Amino acid sequence: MGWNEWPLILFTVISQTAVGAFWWCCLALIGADLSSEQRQRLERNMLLLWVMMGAAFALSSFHMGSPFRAMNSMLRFGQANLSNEVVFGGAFAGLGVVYWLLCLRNASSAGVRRFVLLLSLLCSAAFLWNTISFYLMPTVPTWYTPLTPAAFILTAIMGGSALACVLFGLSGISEPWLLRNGPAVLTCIAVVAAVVVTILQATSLAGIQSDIHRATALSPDYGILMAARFALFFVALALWLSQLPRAGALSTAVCTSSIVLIMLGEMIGRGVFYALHMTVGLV
Amino acid sequence: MTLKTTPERETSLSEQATLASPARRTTLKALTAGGLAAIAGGISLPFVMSPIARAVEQATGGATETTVWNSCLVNCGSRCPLRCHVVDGAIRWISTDDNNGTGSDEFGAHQVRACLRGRSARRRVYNPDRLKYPMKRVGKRGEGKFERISWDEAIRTIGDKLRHTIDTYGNEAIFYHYGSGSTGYNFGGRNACQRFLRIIGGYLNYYGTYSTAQQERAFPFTYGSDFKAHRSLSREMGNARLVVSFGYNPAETRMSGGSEIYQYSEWQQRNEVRTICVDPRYTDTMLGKEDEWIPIRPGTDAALVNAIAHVLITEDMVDQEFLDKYCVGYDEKTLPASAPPNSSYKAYILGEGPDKTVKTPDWASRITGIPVDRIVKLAREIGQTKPVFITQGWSLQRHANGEQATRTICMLALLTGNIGLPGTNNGDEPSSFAYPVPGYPPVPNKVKASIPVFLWTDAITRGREMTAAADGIQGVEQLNQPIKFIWNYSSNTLINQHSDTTRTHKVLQDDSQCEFILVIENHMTPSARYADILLPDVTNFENSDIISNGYAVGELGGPIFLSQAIKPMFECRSAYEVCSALARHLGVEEQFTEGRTYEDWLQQAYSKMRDADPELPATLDEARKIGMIKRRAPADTGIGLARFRQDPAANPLKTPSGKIEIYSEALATIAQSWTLPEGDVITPLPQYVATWEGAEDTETRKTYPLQLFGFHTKGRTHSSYHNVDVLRQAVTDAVWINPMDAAARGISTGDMVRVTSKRGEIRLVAKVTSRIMPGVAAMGEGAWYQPDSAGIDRGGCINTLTSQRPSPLAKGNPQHTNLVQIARA
Amino acid sequence: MMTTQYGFYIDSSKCTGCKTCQLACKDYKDLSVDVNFRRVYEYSGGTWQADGDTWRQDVFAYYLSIACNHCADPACTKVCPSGAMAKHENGLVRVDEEVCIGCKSCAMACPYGAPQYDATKGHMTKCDGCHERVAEGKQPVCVESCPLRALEFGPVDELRQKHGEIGAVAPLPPQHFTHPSLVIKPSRKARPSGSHEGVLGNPKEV
Repeated sequence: MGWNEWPLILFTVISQTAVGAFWWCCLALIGADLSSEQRQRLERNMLLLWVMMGAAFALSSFHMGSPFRAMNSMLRFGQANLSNEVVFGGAFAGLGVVYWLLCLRNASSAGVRRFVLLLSLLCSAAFLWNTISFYLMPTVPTWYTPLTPAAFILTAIMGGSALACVLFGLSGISEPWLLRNGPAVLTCIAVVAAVVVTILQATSLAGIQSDIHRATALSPDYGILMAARFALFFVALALWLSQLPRAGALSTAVCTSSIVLIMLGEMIGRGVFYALHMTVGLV
Repeated sequence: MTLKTTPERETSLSEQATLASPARRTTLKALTAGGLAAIAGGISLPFVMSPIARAVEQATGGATETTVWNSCLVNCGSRCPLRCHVVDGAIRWISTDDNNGTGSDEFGAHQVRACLRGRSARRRVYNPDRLKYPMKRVGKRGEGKFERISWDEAIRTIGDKLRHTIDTYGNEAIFYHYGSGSTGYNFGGRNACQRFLRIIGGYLNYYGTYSTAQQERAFPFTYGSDFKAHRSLSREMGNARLVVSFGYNPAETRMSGGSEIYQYSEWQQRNEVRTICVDPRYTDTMLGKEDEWIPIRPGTDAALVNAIAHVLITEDMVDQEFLDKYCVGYDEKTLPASAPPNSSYKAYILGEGPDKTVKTPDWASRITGIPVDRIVKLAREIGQTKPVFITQGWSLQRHANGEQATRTICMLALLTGNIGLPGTNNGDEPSSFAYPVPGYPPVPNKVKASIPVFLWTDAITRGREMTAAADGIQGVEQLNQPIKFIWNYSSNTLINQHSDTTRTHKVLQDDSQCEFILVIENHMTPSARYADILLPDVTNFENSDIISNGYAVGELGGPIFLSQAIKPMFECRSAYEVCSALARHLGVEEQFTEGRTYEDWLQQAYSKMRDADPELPATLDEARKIGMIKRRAPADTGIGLARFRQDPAANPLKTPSGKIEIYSEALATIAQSWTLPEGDVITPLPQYVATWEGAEDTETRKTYPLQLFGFHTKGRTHSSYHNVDVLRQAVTDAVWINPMDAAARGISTGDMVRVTSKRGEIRLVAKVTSRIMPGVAAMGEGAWYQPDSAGIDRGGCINTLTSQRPSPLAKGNPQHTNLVQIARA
Repeated sequence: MMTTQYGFYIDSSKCTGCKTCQLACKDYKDLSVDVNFRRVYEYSGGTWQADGDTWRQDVFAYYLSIACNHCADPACTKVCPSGAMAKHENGLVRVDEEVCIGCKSCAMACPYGAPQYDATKGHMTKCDGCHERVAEGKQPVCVESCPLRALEFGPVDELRQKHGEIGAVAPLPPQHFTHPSLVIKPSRKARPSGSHEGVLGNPKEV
């Protein structure tokens, strides 16, 4: 397991979860017919996303040898994926906080707020895409595969949906069906997709080797770790799905358990991802 | 925070580095408060600077660099010039020979480039293990508990103890211990110590070395007492059509970029000389430079040679004329009168001798592990090629049957007449061109007794029992006294490099036997822990000298002029100063110094050198600016036994017969008169002898199935440089094991394993590699002994596994004859 | 932008794996214990077959001394977010130690292990081709140190003219990934890149 990369494991899983949840929030705020109280509560509760983004960035700094020079990471904006990732990630969270402040103080028109929200949405997508692109290094055969974007996007979907469910619950949103049950259904689909991605990855690893490394040897406990990961997912889903047939709002406690389990599962998956680092050469 | 490098400071380079970095971070954090501009532009980190240099620069505002020549003085066979780049009293970095600044590197007058160790010498000077002041033992001997004392007290104690030992037991009870930690020192170190001890009446001598005890004892019987003069330079490899080498591994034993490995590599590759290497391990000398590698079980080279001889004899490829004219004992014709019938070499090979065993390739294949067809092919190649250069390393004589093995190799050169001609060698190691540098005027040692170097622990425990016939004592028939006083200068043989550390520890810990141990050292080595008085020696970088460049340098020799690069650190004093002070204490200062300062000795030596070699620079100071001056072996030298080959009557060898003695009457006499333990064999002919813990010791192999030998690791010279962290990182200490043996034991590369022999247990990591033969394991010798409370050596010193049982003739160290078991720890 | 691309020549047929290059560099650059601007890789393999009481084998081993190959198309500079890792005069890839944030992205991307994270400094370090020495007309320290005379440094075009075009043998990656400025004379035992026949013999040392 690549636990030595724990700051990156935490950064990517937490930030991608926040991105996914943010997308659900945008859907609710733009596409759904919320009461003004529901809207206000959701807008305020979205602070959790920005706290998470802040935490993710803070944790990521532990990966850096010279965190006090962190700002230098943006110097190659437009050229390096990592710079883009930092800039868009920062913009996403920054705009989110602006939106939150505007809503809190009721400071501007709905149009302006919506504009800020949409801008943040664009940044979130650019952020996620640049995170993915960073890892698509042609010299790293275990990462240079469509399974990398698939894995990162699935984190956003699974984690994001579960987190959105918690935010909706806290904001008293139990309707429409799409917002109440949609996240769970989408997560089910995503977990199925994750199973497929994992099978594809397990198969493809056998074919990846350099003169020094065999991909299959990099994470010898691949099978056990993936089994643990999916076990966490299945427990999370079981808890979550058991809520759906019941009338009224979903239990926030249960949804919170689900998001914790899903994020733990994704951290295991991300740990395996970093453990699978090798190059086409000596490293 | 400013770092200072005052002598009292106890930090190492690495410690200083870790000290430096938080300080820098604090500064940087403060700067971040200034914002992005500060981050981008306000931070200035001096690159390419040692913490010392940085501290110095902070203190002085930048200092200029001077360069001073010194040298690497350890026991690898070479001494490479090291140019110390000194900034304000500290060595900043070290470069090496550049041919007096010209950078020219023409082969033959090439640069003598230091190896990785010489290039890391700075970290041996600035090392956390450095001894700083004189100390006396306060705990049990070997516990390593010491208390600081003054130099006055140290000198008084040692001087009084010397006087007491001489008065009570006589000078024979003083032993100047074998040691090679600063090999090459000429006026410094060892020679100063021995001069002093001889002036006060002498000390018990030793003969032989841990490097070549068996060879030095055995070869005179074949080639005469001056056998070293009969080797060929490795440049003759360039004239050979075939080189066949046995355990010859200059890439790991002769690593200087001026000496054997470079010359071997150049001659072999320039002239595309076909090369066959016989070795249990696929060494760094091979790696594709060889045409063929023939893996062989350790200690069985003589069996291979016997089988080759069998093919040469039975297929009529023997140079009968040569053998008749130049050799004694090949067949009945040249056997001496005293020899019994069927005692010739030919009879031995053909199974007509006492053992009635025909030495066929089939016979040898089962002993050596080499397939029959391969032996026959090798034999035919040797028999049908001219000229063939036969050579060997020292490894195969460092066995329980080493005297036999080392002489046996010569048979290939003798049987085929590849002797004394261009492109040939007599079977010994290649020769080395020695440039003479004068030393102290000789002072004879009044003590006549001499022990085999390996038997000093016996000389402590049973000295008075040791005799010429049973223990190889020379000079006297029997020792008069056991060893009571050990003078251990720059030597780790006190525990680390001697066999069976567990037994050695017991012998040394009993201070009623050996009453006093003086250790003079740079570092707190395992041996230093056994001192009663421990004196801090200067490193050679804090000293000056004039030295010759080594004993295994191929054709390129010359003097090296060492100058003091830095002032003595801490309270360190040179051996010359220590001996002067002791001489003063004992009232012999005038005899010791002859009224000269140390520098006077050097100046006097240089003027003698100038008399002999007028092309040297006019003054010593000029020579010191050059570092090393090159002298190449004359073109008409370097073919061993050339004059003997041309005219054997006019140039007889220093053997009893004047010829090459395949059959040695002298050995026959020894074989009859000596008392040997069961299993030990001395024979007049060079023979294959199966030994205890050898390949054929099936009984011991039931418990300890693997043959283990030590090799010279690149990361150390014996045990010198072991405590240099960058070298430990660069060369992992591991026991090599074949993938088949490893798989059977569930061992992977990097696993911690326990290696056990009848004597002890060590722990180290495994290196699973096809480069070692199945059934054989190997590890670098010289790692520092570090026993835990249960006696398990966590330091991975091979001598916790080796035996103190000496070889039959030389009573030498059989440190490559070991059977072990290896298991996951 | 760039005039001449400099590079290294390594004669693996001469190399004995002694690591003098690595340690000479380490001394000159005063590197921490775990940082190696030049690393010497041991690649070995082959099998043993029992034949009665004897053995037959096809063992091979050789070393490759690798620093930074100052690639024509470096993987490290592409991923660097600060621009600290960049190509400079003579095509040398250097890291600006005053700008580098120590994110190790370059180390993830480089297939030669050239960027070396120095934990005591908190940022990346690497072989800079001894550019200061080169500017003074000197050779890099490693080149001058080699006891076997197995290293050269100079304009890579000239090195290729003199020694040929080979820039990859196992375990180095095929050249198309980064176009290393590296010329190799292989050992007679060398295996082609991508042949998967051997193992890295000294994983702890590199």
